[in-house]
Amino acid sequence: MASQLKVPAHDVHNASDATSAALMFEPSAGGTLDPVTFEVISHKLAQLTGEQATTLQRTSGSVVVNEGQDFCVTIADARGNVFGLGDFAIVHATALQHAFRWTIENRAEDGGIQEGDMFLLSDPWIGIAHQADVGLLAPVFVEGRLFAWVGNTMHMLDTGGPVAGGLNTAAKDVFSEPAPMPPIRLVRGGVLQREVEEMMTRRSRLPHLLSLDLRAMIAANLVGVKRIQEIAAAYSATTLHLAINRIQDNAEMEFRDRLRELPDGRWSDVQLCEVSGDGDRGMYGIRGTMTKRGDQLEFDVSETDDQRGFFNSTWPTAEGGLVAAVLPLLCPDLTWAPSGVQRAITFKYRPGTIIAATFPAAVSAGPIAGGLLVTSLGTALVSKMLSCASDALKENLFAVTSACIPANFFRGVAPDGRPIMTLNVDTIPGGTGARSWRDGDEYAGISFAPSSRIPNIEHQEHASPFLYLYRRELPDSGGAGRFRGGVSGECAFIPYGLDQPMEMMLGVHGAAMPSSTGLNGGLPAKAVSYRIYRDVDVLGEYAKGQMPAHASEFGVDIEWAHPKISSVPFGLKDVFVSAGSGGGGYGDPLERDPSRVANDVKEGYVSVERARDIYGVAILGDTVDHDRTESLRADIRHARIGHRPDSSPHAPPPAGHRMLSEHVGVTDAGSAVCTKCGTDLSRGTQDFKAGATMHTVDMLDAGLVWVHPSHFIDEELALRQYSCPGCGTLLETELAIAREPIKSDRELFTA
Amino acid sequence: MTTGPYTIGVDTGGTFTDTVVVDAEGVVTIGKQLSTPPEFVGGVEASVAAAADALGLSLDSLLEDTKQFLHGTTIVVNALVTGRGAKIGLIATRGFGDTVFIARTTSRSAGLRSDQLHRYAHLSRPKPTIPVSKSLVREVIERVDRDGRVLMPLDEASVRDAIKEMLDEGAEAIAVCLLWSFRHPAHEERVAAIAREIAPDVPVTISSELVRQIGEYERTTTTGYNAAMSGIAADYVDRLSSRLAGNGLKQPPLIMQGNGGVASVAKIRQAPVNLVGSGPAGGVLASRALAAKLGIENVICTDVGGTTFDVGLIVDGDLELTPTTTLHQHRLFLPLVDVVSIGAGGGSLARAEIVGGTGRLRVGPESAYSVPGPVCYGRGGTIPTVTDADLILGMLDPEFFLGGQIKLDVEAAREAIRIHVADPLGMSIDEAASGIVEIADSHMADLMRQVTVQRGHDPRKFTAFLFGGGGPLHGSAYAAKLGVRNMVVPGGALASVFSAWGIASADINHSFQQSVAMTVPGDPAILNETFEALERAAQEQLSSDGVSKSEQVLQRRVDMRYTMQTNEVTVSLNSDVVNDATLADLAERFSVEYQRLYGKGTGFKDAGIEITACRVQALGMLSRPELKSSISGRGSSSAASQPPVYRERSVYWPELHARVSTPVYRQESLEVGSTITGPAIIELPTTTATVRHGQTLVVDEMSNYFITQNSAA
Repeated sequence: MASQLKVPAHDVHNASDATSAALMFEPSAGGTLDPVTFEVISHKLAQLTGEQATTLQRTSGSVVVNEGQDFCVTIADARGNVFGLGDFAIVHATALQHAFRWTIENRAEDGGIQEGDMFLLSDPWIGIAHQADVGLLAPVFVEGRLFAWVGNTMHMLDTGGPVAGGLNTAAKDVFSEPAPMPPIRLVRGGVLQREVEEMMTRRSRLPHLLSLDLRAMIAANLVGVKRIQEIAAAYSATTLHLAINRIQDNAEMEFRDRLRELPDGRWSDVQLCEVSGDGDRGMYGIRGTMTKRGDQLEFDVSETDDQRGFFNSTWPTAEGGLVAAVLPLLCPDLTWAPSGVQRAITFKYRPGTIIAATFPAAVSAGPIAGGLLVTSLGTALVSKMLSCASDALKENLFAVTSACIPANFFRGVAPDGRPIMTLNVDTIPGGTGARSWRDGDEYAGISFAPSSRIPNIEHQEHASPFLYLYRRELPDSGGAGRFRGGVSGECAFIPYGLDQPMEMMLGVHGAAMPSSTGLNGGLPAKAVSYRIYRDVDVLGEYAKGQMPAHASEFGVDIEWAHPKISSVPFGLKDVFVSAGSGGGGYGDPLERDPSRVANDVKEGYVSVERARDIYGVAILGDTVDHDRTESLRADIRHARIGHRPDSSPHAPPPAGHRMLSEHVGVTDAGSAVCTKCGTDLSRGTQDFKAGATMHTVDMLDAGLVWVHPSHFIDEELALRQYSCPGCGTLLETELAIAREPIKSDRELFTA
Repeated sequence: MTTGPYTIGVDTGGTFTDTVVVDAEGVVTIGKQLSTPPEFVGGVEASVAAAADALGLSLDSLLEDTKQFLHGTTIVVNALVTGRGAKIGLIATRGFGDTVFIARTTSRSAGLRSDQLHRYAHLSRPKPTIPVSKSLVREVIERVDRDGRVLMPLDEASVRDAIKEMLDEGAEAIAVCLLWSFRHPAHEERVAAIAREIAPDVPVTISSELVRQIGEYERTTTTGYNAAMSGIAADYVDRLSSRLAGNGLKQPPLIMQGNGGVASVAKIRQAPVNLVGSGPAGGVLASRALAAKLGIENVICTDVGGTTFDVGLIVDGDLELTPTTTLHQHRLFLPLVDVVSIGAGGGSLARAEIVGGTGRLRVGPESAYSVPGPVCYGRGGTIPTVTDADLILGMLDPEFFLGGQIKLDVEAAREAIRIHVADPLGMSIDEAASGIVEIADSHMADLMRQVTVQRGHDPRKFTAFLFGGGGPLHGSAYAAKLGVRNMVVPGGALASVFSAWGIASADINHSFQQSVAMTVPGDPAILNETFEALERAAQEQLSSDGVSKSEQVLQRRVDMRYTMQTNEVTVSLNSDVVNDATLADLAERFSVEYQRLYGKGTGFKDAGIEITACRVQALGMLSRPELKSSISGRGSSSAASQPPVYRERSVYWPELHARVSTPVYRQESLEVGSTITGPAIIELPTTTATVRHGQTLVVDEMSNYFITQNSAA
């Protein structure tokens, strides 16, 4: 199964062989760096990533880069350690670190890395998120030696392969996908190599755009190379070298200090993903355990299921996905130098799994499959740990943010015979996860690309053969909780201005079950859906004076599209509806302030029914019926634990207990207790689930899925809720494969 | 002796209201008074009265002899940002009422800095303001397609219901933005007519009247903010006009807009959103006027305030406009004078951080603001600031800050720097203070670099104008760091009212635009028809402003891009009739401009070129005298002379890493031709200017200080 190429072991490694060592810049002995110069230089380097990003965005012809912001810019040291990245898709930056290191190890022989060179690549095993992304790496030479690297990646609309856009849900291996390309010199000694460019553009259905994008990437790298050389000239190469090292050292030390502020322990989580491609009905898990001891963090994801179908990613992508959770949750106020931060992190994974697929597995969906699922996993793991932290650090946790990226590609033929291919990105951003102190944001984000944006309806109608019927925020799509996850968006459109039907390819996860999980009792967000309403004939309705603009007005005959399928017809009179994912909720929904629920109802984020059934809040007009709310909430608690909650609390938990979760403490004796009522949940262990009352929730009844999971998968799923048997407070909600045993997912180590 | 008729410029800020009176000979007189919140008009009156007093005139006699009264104010926009705008009702096409809430999913991050973006858990969508609740949004039945064809006629009954319902909900103004209305405005116009019929007193804004540009989200925000501002704006300009008229002003005042021009009171009542960005525009306008007078083509305008550092550009003698702006984390379609800001200024806080045994020195972006302010102000500040560092280094005289109005506490500043910076980092107090200033100057130079280089300009070919409280002090350092050889500190008394003086120099300016969809080569008729319609509207507007034909200037521009590219380059179009040759010329100039902005070889003609919008800037040129010597200029000879040194004091110069006994000059002893070699310090009543080692300062006849970097240095 090994690739023909020398693909490095998946471990983090450093180039150290003699060839590359001879290239490297050596700082002069006795060089020093004072704090003022360091501050001045690090500001210039931080500004440089912004300048590279601006150059790339403004020069590029691509909507994906400018609107979806699916790109990254990086600066690395001479050995390829990435210490500077822009504010865009983080997941790509650490993947690119693998590419820099591979290039140093494998391209330095016989003068293969020279000043003025730039290496193009699209090989996910070497260090790009998937083959639709193209990376361009430029060595920076100072005083004739290899001093640093700059590099960027861009998602291209088409890099070839059997299916336009690069994703192929029918792919069984990489040979049915765009061909991966290891690093090759697109620019040699400052000169663009036309034959290399043409090899790339010849594969593409959009050669002009690809060519323009390559020029944007070159321009962004040129800005980086020139600026680093200017800074080296102004402050001396040795001083700049020391500053680059110190940025990484600082990031490491700040991160280790941060880890020391957190309790030692172990946390585990599973993120589920249904079906691996056309025709599959399987259910798969990304399974991880995070252990934190002192100033070290370890992620072990080796229990993840085996690679299968088209929905895999390579390890560089998955690693990037984990770092994309670590930086915003643990380092929001620290230096974002991944190479430094990663010195305190160990990764354990098993080659041959969904998130560390081996050649020649299909990996073209890498970032939106394994990469994104791993970001959700990392978010859940780190947030569980932060639940045990000081108030100031706990503020940074999140329930999972919109954990799926609906990728919808449309193909057709224009009346003039021109082929049409377009994609629909409206529901890619979703609701953000709830915080421990505030609701998530409605229809506002992608977890690893916070600045992404969707196009205006008018721009899409201008550029694509669609007429939109609506684009709205979707009520009841956010995860319920004391703090609610943000709602997602939903849009509907029809083919427009065409005389032949279209065809679409769909690829998403989280349709059979929710994918944005809740935290500390919070519920998951509603699942996503692709719905097709056949033969509605909206334009015909317009002619009759009717203007359907709600899904309920398209009729009741719904075709629930398979979440991963390479070809679905889209007829001229059909309506396509895509609903994205909200964010997960935080804490017991019965603890939500009833006035917030009333406001949610007024603003259309929560329905009256859900307010009653999930939040136990009775709404009368615009206001809360408080008496009725109290009795509703008592009834729900009763139903959870099978008896009226205790009216008199047990003894409060002993002072000095440590927190394990929102309402679970660990006593000095090592027992888990409910911190609301003092009930001992586990008699001497920390496994509070063992002593909690567990019941399962029907996801369809609870409005968490659109259609029963059995429509898409064969496995039975269980949404398990664990409540305190004393007071009926909801302590944890988890989504699991029903046949799998209940496992303790949190443990604090004793000092 | 001065003579009318006069031109008056008044700039109302949060603290002061500044006035500049220019007489028929171009001689300038100033007035400065405290602003008078919340009504502010009293402060305008007092400030103008102060200038009148300096001229030996009564307020009435000055105003009676005034032909132009130009006024800039930030108070309307501030009221909006602080949530005091009108409660608006919003009307959208059925299916698209959530547009402004969804905000293209950008409102968690729009307009935020990198360090803010990293704090994911603290990012949030802004609190809804336009409108404040979804219960104030109504969707009406109508639909137009991309070609402007009506697919679904406007259902007037649904419009009537919508308007009545939102009025019942308490709407105080109505905003209307329908899909594709810039191609087919009739539906919006009809909605407005129905609204006026139902509620004649409720202000209505429709998007197609304000901004004919593709992009329903930005059109909605622009329309919504306009509606939300309409009440406050109308109230303010009405009170101002009637008070000034009562004092004898014959022409109604003209109001400063964010696009760098002024507009009539009537126009502002109709389109108050144009006030957005008018605050920072004043300094750039003043720079343009001064640059024109001095014959300088390219200027980096730098303004160092207490909390922010603002940078704008004059290129080839003209302002740079940016087509969009961000307000309250929402993006708007508004052509604004391009001014970029960072959190850096006299109030920027400095602190040491120790990471793993290594010290860091951080400066900004957090600020001490004016309360508590720098430690040396003695108002409770304990964390050292850039101003405290300036003081320790000897750049500021503790007895002569703001001309002696505030006595600075040197010991407190030293102690704060010792505790928070010097001791933790193992530096001397001088080194610590020098480090703070060095870092602040370097950050400012980096922003100037960003603004120039990222727009394809070489900063070394620019002259830097240094103004604001801290510009003359820090500018000779930050401009030099960037390789700028020529700097100007705007002269004499003008420096303290620079923005008001810029406002007094403004012309009438309206921006008209229309989105189009055409490729090049293509049908020139599209451009001819579009420009004809835009210019007709522009001429009507200028005529209603009372601008005669001979004073009207219409500038045509087109937005162009490579096919499927999202970012546009605006190219000017200098011919009245567009034909194939003109189009070819446009394409050529687009390619040249594109390569200048983005680098050689990055253009790619084969992808095709599109024209996406036509723009017309409608200027009403206001006649005014040529600027004369400022009142504070003295002397008549321009021969080089050595001015008398006021005193010497020990100053630590960061670039020399040493204390040097340095001559200090006072403004009143300088005259035309005075020449000072650095290092030196010049104390003015409102600021302090520095001349660095290797620089020479010369005073011109307008009292401007020209600072030149010597070639040898």
